[in-house]
Amino acid sequence: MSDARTRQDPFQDALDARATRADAIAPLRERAAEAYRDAGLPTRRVERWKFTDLKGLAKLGFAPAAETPAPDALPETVADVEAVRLTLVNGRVAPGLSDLDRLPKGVTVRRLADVLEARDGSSDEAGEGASARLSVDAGFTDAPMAALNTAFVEDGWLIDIADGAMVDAPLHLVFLSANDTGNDTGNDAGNDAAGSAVASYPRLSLHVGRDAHVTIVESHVGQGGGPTFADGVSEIALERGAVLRHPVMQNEEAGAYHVHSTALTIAEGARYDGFVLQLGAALARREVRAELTGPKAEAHVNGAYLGDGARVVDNTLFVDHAAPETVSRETFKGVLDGTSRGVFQAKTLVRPIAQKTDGQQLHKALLLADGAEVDAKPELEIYADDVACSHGATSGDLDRDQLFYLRARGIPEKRARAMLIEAFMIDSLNAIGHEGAREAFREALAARLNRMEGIVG
Amino acid sequence: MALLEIKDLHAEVDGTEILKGIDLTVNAGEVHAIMGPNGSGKSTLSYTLAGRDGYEATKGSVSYDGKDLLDMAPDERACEGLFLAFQYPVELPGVGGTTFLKTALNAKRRYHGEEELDAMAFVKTLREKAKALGMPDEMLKRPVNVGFSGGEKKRNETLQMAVLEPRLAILDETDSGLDIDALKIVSEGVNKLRDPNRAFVVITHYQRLLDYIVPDHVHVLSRGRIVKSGTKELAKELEANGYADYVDAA
Ligand SMILES: Nc1ncnc2c1ncn2[C@@H]1O[C@H](COP(=O)(O)OP(=O)(O)OP(=O)(O)O)[C@@H](O)[C@H]1O
Ligand SMILES: [Mg+2]
Repeated sequence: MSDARTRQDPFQDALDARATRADAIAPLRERAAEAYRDAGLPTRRVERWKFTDLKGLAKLGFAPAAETPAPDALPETVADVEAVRLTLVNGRVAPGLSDLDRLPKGVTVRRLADVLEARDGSSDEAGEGASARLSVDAGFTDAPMAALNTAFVEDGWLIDIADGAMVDAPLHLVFLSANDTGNDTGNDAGNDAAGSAVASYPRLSLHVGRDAHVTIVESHVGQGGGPTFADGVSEIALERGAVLRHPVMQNEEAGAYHVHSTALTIAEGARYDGFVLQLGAALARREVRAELTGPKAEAHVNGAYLGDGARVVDNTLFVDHAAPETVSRETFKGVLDGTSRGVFQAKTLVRPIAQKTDGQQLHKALLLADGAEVDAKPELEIYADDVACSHGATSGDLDRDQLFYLRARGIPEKRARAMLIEAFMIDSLNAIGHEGAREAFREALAARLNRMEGIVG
Repeated sequence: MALLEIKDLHAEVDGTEILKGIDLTVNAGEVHAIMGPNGSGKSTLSYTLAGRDGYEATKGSVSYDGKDLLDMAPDERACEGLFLAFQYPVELPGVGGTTFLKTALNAKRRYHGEEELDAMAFVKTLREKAKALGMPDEMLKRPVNVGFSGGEKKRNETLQMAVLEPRLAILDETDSGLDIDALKIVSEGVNKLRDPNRAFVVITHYQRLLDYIVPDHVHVLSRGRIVKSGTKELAKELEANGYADYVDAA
């Protein structure tokens, strides 16, 4: 019995109890299950999880996976952006909430469930395609949470953007965690009396063809008030010269656990322009791994987050410069109130071949309460000699002179604080390359700030 | 009844007593000038009146329009019509000029139980007032004071005053940093607001400003006390002779 088994781990039990699925990725699932069994639920003894504890998740009681009927409408927390919408409810495609009949030219969308159903891998092109496109852990090493997704994944999207396609209309991927069995957050108080948590394993495989340009917005939201756990994986490949704008908003409900692993490979001259806005969930960990495989490839992974109450918001990034003249930009800003915690772990690796790499990491946090905390760990590991790389982290409270200036003009304290917090965050949103998404995210941020306790009563 | 009545005001900054017994009465309709050497406590007086934290009144009283000013929060004082034009205006990155002024004006209106202003109407009056002060529209869209030159910041303070229409305005060295033309424009802005219900306290080092904004009373502040009061002739005398006589007297 491995060490991992000595701890309480509902997912080990679930793996034991699961029925074998003879679908197109059955062998992949077995390897993924083994990978999770070996590692178990990460603890803070694992370096990459040093700052974020999933203990609370282990204590949740999970309901057996049941088909949740898709709701008629999406919650208001979804980004308000004009786009072609594709919705997953608890990891399963919700056709009624998806615009599958009006996909833009150059965009091919397949349901992962359909592809997986093509059992006979050897004779079915689609099935083979699926096993080739999905991997055990999306290229992350030591990634039990990504492996857990592979073991349990049932549905998701396979999206292909054709070579040279200039897709004007953005796609909007909505990931809804729905559980209306109760309002208990299922945290340390135990979960005997409360409803069980609903787990989901959403998956995205996205290929952006040569020189194609596309915007894909994501909203990760919740509904129903019951505890949820979303363990998502996105595998994204940008071919030569491709451009992907990828603004992602995590705005889950207060009782949600949100873990998402995004793996990117970015070929020569391609540009990934990502932004992560995290506003919700009890615990959210978004991990991005970007591999710059061709010269002049660029990864822009910027973001902002807001924590209050006892939330934990984690952004963990790894950028691998594996070709010369590659560029990476990581600027994150966080606002933390109450006893919330922010985590920013960013590692940039510059391989010997990656001369003339230009890499920047920056984290700025605003701590509004004595109990709020931030762990920022920007790291550079450089094996090339001709590079321009920098990193930095700052944290502090609101500027007292600015606060007084606003109040001296008649603006009440709470409003003045909210204005300054919004101002602190707002310029980071300018990194979002798509105007509609930028405006939608700005509104979501303002709405969230207005609800934030202690700032605007 | 006087609009502002300061009696034996003592104030500390970080535990150091800076104001050591100020007496000053300002009636509606009047303009008072305060002059005095660097470090004599002029800004400390204005911050104490505006309610900045860290500026603690330890003795004496300040009554404003019959109310205890020191008992009010800074935003309450502003809503009651007190305005401080800062000696060093603060930069607000990420806060657009128009939004800032609209929020401030609406806060004041809400305080008085009035309806919020229509956004279009507000922008129109704001532009008119900015134009009168020689400020281009583009400046209103920029974040407040960010990247503004010293003189531009001072004009911006004057614009805020024009929009908020205070009953008592304290101008802390609003003239320093202004070029000759700007000095005239800003002074005109102040004079336009002069009326029998409104009063000004103008802190300055230079007699020149007082040629444009003609004061009813001139006071000399030295080492935390008002050591001399007089008419506008006093400013001229100071310009000629400096503070030597009064500094010793304190
Ligand atoms: N935090 C502080 N602790 C101690 N002393 C302070 C503090 N802040 C200001 N002072 C002192 O208070 C005194 C008065 O300063 P104040 O800014 O009011 O002068 P002022 O008359 O406005 O000068 P100026 O003409 O240069 O603007 C100065 O001697 C200054 O050094
Ligand atoms: Mg001063």
